[in-house]
Amino acid sequence: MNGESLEVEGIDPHTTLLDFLRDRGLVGTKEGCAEGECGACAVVVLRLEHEGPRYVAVNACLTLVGSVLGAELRTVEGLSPQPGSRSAGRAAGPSVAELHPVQRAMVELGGSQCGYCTPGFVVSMFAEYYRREASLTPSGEPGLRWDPESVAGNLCRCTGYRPIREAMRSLPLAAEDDGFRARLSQPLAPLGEASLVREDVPGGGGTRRLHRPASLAGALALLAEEPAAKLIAGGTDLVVEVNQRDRRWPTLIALEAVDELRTLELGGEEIRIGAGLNLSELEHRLGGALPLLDELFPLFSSRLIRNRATLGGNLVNASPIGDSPPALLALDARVVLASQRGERELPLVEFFTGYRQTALAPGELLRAVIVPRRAPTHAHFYKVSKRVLDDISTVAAAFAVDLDPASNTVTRARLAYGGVAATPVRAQAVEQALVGRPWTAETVAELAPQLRESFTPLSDHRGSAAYRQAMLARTFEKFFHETQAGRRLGPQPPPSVVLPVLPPRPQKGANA
Amino acid sequence: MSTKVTLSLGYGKQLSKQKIEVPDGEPKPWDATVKTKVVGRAVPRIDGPLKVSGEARYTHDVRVEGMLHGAILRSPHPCAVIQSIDLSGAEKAPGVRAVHAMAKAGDRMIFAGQDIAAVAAERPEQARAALEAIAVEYELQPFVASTRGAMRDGAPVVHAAAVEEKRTGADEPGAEKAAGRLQGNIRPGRSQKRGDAKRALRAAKASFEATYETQCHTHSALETHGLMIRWEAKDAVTVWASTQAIFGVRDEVAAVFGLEPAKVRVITEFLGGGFGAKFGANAPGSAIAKAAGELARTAKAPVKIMLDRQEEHLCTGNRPDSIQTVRLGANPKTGAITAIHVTAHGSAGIGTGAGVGRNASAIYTKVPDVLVESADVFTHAGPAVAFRAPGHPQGAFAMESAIDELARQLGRDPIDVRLAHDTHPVRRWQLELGRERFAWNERRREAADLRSRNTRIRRGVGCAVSIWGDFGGPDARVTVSVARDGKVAVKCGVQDIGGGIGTVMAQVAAEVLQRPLADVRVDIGDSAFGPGVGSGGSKTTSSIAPAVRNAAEAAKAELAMIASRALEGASVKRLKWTEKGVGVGRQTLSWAELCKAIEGEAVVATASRPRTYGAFPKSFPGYPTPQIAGAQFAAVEVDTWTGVVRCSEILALHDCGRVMNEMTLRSQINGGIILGVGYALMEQRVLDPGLGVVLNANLEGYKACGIKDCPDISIVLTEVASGNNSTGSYGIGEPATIPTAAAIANAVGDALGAHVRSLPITPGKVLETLEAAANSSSNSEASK
Repeated sequence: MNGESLEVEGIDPHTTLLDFLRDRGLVGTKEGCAEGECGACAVVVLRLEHEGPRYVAVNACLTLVGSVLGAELRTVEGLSPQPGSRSAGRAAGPSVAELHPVQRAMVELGGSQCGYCTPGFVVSMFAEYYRREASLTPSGEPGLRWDPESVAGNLCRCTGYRPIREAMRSLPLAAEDDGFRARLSQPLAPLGEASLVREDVPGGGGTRRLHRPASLAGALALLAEEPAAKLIAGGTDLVVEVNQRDRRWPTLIALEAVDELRTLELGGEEIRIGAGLNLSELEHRLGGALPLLDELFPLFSSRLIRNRATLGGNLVNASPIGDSPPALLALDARVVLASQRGERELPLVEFFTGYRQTALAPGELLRAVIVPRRAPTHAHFYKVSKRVLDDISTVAAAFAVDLDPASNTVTRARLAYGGVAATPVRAQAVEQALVGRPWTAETVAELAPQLRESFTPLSDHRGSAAYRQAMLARTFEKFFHETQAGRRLGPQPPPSVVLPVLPPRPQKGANA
Repeated sequence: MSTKVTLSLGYGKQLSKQKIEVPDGEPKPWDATVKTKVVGRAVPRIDGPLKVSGEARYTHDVRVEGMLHGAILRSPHPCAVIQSIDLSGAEKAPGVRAVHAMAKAGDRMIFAGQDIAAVAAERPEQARAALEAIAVEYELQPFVASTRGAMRDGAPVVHAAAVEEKRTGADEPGAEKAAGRLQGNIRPGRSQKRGDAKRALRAAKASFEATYETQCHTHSALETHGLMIRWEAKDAVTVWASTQAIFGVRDEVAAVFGLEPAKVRVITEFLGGGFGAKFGANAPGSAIAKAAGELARTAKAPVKIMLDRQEEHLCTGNRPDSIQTVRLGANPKTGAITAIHVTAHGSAGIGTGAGVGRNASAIYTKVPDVLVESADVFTHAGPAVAFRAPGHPQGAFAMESAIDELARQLGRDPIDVRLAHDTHPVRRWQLELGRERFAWNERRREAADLRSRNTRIRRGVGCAVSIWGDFGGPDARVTVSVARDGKVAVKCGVQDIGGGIGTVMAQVAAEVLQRPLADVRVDIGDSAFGPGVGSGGSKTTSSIAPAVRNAAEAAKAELAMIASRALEGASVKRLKWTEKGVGVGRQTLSWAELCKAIEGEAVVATASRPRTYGAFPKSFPGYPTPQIAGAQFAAVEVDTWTGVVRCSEILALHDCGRVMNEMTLRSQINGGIILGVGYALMEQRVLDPGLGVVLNANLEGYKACGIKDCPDISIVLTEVASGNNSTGSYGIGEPATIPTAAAIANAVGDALGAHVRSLPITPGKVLETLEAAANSSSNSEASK
């Protein structure tokens, strides 16, 4: 922690990193929501990834201490290159020269107002400052290319974000002699086995354990021994339950250190994704191999969440409003389930058995997701939500169609949705009806009413049933028109792709 | 008592000599001719390094020896009578050191979230666990959670007896408040009136009527409400509070516990936002100070209560919703508006204060007949409280929307309609400037073109205006001292809500004393530093900055006496001050030499500021203080297939008196705008009408703007020299958020050719509006 060793002893395994830090007086890391929505609690983890160590920013409120035992961590207090002594007085503190370049830019350009969110922003920006993908400009030259999305998981209620954006843009590449940068070329030991045990939890809690096995065999053995144990990967959903609904489990099995779950095999026919791979690492390791997922990633929660959240976790969670299921359903993904009895494969569409229920049997875990490599003629992902980033979808949709180039007829169609039923779903009747039909506006218009009636969504605070029903067809119509335009529509559609409002109504005069 | 001084006042090139009566002892106010060196500059916050390094200590971060953690059990029911409470389970729970009942058998709970009991324990999780050991039996009673539902005859009545008005320092002075007799759940308010609007409406040749609705909006400051109380003696406490009014907390704690105010010390070193909801010691819907104090007394240990995010949504205040019917009368030939009649109902939950601001009554002063009637409607929901420009954003949305809809009906440009009825010269200037800078005419043509071609993506522009007043006053006292080592210290018990008042204080002192900023130390955030002012009504800067100047001038006067003695009796008037020191003729004294000549440790001067003495060019209605004008322009893009609206650009033109710090000022405006964007497009507290509970009491379902929702913001500062106080400063926090949502709504109206009359403008509402417009236009085509 900030370059020093911290002993962890006698804590409940449900203790979050945030509570742990603040209990030890590291109160620079703030709590704003305890549910991964505000980013005020962001801390830096130095993580061993495929290509070496990498700084990632994560929400400390959703990270259990057990998940990061043995890791190198930094809080906002530990980012200054030469930690200075705190001079007395309110308007003092470290001198500007003692600050990290990111902190300095935030001071000089006014990126902090009330300042409560500032530590979280600083941490997210610190990770971005050293991110490999950010260190090349679009032309391939060295230079910092800030992605504003790197702070999309940080909420600021005062500054209007503009000075924060300006602070980000003002920064040059990290200097050659930057110690934090140098650390990235040093070796980093992988996370090993670890465990936390707390006996006699007050209030009759009994004994609570967290095991962190370092192999798949180890994880499966633990699971076989205690099938009711709760598996935790990124924890971005599970720890919300810990924080908000006081959920506790006698035994937690953290999958953090299981290397077999973090593999990625880019085969010629299919891609096999380890279920424990976090979405950020998956995104840069895929390197565009699955274009539909590249449309999904930036819309999937925030960078802070994706740095912890795993693809497997999103599927096992089986939420009807999860973002990855529709995309993977459209790609005909399969899942690999493993237990001590062996492995089995299942089409993803059969994995979701009910509201937040899956086909996982006791003692089984989701090991991998297999995605066929065959590229559909057209495939797009859509997420309708109020906020641009880091919002839960009102409706999510992923479409993939194969066309016969000679006849322009549909040979195969996948129409998958989230947010319209108790599980992620495919509109299979419409998929079948599309096959053999020409890929034309008439076909789409003809099938739109059937698509609208395919499911009976609910009304909630994200959208009404009627709106969701409308979106079932609208998103598909949008998809069709985008396949015609040959690309996604820009903010200003050129006259050639100016389209009528749907449902079509008679127009006076010529329509452009 | 007072002296007449001639000042150069005005704005832009419209400057004139004005005679202003200034109280004796007051320095000559900074007017348009005065060029300042440090004041006005974009100076980074002096506490920036503390904030970016995590060393700034907020109430949430304060830990003291022996501190216990408090937690509060809340009613899960919107309306229920407590049959029995058994606290014994909590008393026996592990780690618990004190239990405090906040309700008793027979009490009627009237919103889900109301206080039942509090516990203090050694660990926060022990306190939470102990709450579960409290047994409460409720008898459920009928409730009403929707504003319209509460207005119906026979609706369950929220308050059986008269309700006392509760006001805080964040409420707009003089704003209309509910005052009439309670009829069911409706409590009519005072009205704003000019002429006879009803008669004028009957006589009007053209008329327009529409009903507009706005949602309940929560403050959602990043730091939740909370405080810690430590008893120092039987009659003395120290309070660490997340508050925007240190002295308000002091007075409330003193009143709650029967203490002398002087025996209550309140500390707010840093504050993680407030936006109007953090004025008292108790939260608007939860007696957290009472609970912490009682628990601390019982446990004989300091007790800290920090609310969690869910509690923050339930019981710490909100902006009331509104249902506003606007009726306009007009002359179709001239486009003149002849009458405005607004009937507004809004629910502040169980609380009062659902006003609608002054856009309708005080901006369009050329409209002869105006009537604004507003009423509070009680519902079984957490109480509202002042929220950044209380009432104004909702009133601006309705009134400014109606102006645009009328303009569309009459085939007139909405800016022209505004200009024809508004006499404030600065707002008129802002509208003209904005029209040009925003390429208004070109963009309106483009919007019309996209509409006529019925394109999928539409664009539109809209504008809206704001009114606010300079409410700065003489509450605060500032102490400026110059020590023998030459260092300057400025002290005041004001808190920094985030606006950066500490930095402005340093700038003003540095300006007057001609010292480097780094040599000025600022101490704020503690009642021990002397009276401050609550940060509400956008009055922090204009209350504090002039007091700093006055105190610094007084210190300088004393230094001048010392200099005069040291310079062989040179007349004080002949002294020439520079950044190096002071001199007369060829004789000079460096600053260091001058300070060494101080007898004793330091020169100490303390000062306040008098009431506003100037209000040029126009005063706020009913007050002798300047009226603050503002106008904002918005550009939006609407996807007519999904109904998703993106605000792409905002141009904000704001009057801000004399700018004290351009960086913090711009930041305040940016922040006001982004709050307005969230209000326009996404923020909404959702109360289930069937269950009476909040469905999105979190930040997952209650979405505020993120960085990608942030439009391109351009800010034009239309500085005004109004001769109002010795620095010419006034506030911006509130004006900056008033017109944003209205401007966005008008831009959406421009894009669609039809107005979405309800906030937030959700995708569903956009599609419904388009559909309704399509149906009505096909009907009218059919009828042709």
